[in-house]
Amino acid sequence: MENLTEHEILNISARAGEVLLKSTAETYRVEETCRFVCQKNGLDFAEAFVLPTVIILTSNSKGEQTKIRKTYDRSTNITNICKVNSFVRNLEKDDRTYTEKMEYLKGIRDKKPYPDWLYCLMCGFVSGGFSILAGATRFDFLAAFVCGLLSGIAAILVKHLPAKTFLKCFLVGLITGSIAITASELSAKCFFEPIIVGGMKPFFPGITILLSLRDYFAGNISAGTSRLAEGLIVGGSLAAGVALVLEGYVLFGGLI
Amino acid sequence: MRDIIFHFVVAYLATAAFGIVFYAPVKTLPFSAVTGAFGYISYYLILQHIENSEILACTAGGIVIAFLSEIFAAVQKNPVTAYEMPAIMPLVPGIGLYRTMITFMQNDSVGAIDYLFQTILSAASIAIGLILTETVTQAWLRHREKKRYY
Repeated sequence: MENLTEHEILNISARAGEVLLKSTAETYRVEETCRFVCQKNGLDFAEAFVLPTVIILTSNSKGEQTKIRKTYDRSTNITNICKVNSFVRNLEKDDRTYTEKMEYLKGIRDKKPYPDWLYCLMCGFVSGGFSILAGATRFDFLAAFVCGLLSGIAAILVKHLPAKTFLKCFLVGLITGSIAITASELSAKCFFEPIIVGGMKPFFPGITILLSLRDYFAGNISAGTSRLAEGLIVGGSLAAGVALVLEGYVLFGGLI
Repeated sequence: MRDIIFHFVVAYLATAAFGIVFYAPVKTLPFSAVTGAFGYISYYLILQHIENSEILACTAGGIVIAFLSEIFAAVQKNPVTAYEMPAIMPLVPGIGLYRTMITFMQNDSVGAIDYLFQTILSAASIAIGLILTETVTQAWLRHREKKRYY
């Protein structure tokens, strides 16, 4: 392992933390990772403060430097969490130069392990599978599968627009509601509940709420609160999308 | 018995699909799917055999998931979260949220708040199950003075 300057150590640490934060790791994991990278390189007294949107990293050993990284778009990516984990574990044996390490971290930050069509297809299978667990027949399964497929395509299409968190969930809600209504109008064997529950499942804020509770229990109240708010917004916009369609259906004489 | 096996297989496949939606690495997929299926089955069995046991069932599912995840994480040297994230999704109370929304739309606020509290309690009890197991494992590892990262 080569000898890095303080500036370089902090840069590697901040980028590793940024990759983790972009893939929605827990905040205490990001803090641990940043501190661990600094300590492995012989930079003591480093302190990291992490919220779901920002990393603040400082060292007061030699030059008192501070790094700040912001991330506003987050999506769950477990592969990146695993890769950064093994990168940090093997840091002592790693004999790559500073530039190569930075390039490696940047490379995994911008890469996705599966193609988009597989993502859409698997959204469909998730919806179908969970609709069966919620008590669906095979007709409900088909309807929920179509729901998931279209929702996945919509999620990929709105990825680059502003306000995408709200827009994505609202669109998913609209699609799910309309397909549930269409299916139940077409066939008497289809019911609302399994189709809607299954169709919303791939975009459900379960992970966000769980992570927020974990942050609360770990003592990081500010991170927990902001994650909880994100989860409530996601869940609320899903419910708003479905409710809008169902209200319109009731207005035109349908029965829920 | 056929019913249980059917639910197990469906939960396995759905959790594996969730792994791909969360971009999990291929190596961890079968293990997180097994974790999710066992967690869901323990939830399902408790819910069927004990009356009014939503919270107990969620906690038990959380404990099973966290325990299996710890084992797989130690074997494959990955963080525990990689297995837990897809595996808890079968337990997440989607039906509760749907019923809350529907009862709100039918102007039945009291019923809606009832469902809302049930949903929140289930989510919290899953987290409590996970955290309970995690704390015990960490304490045990520290007792054996086996230093590990994460």
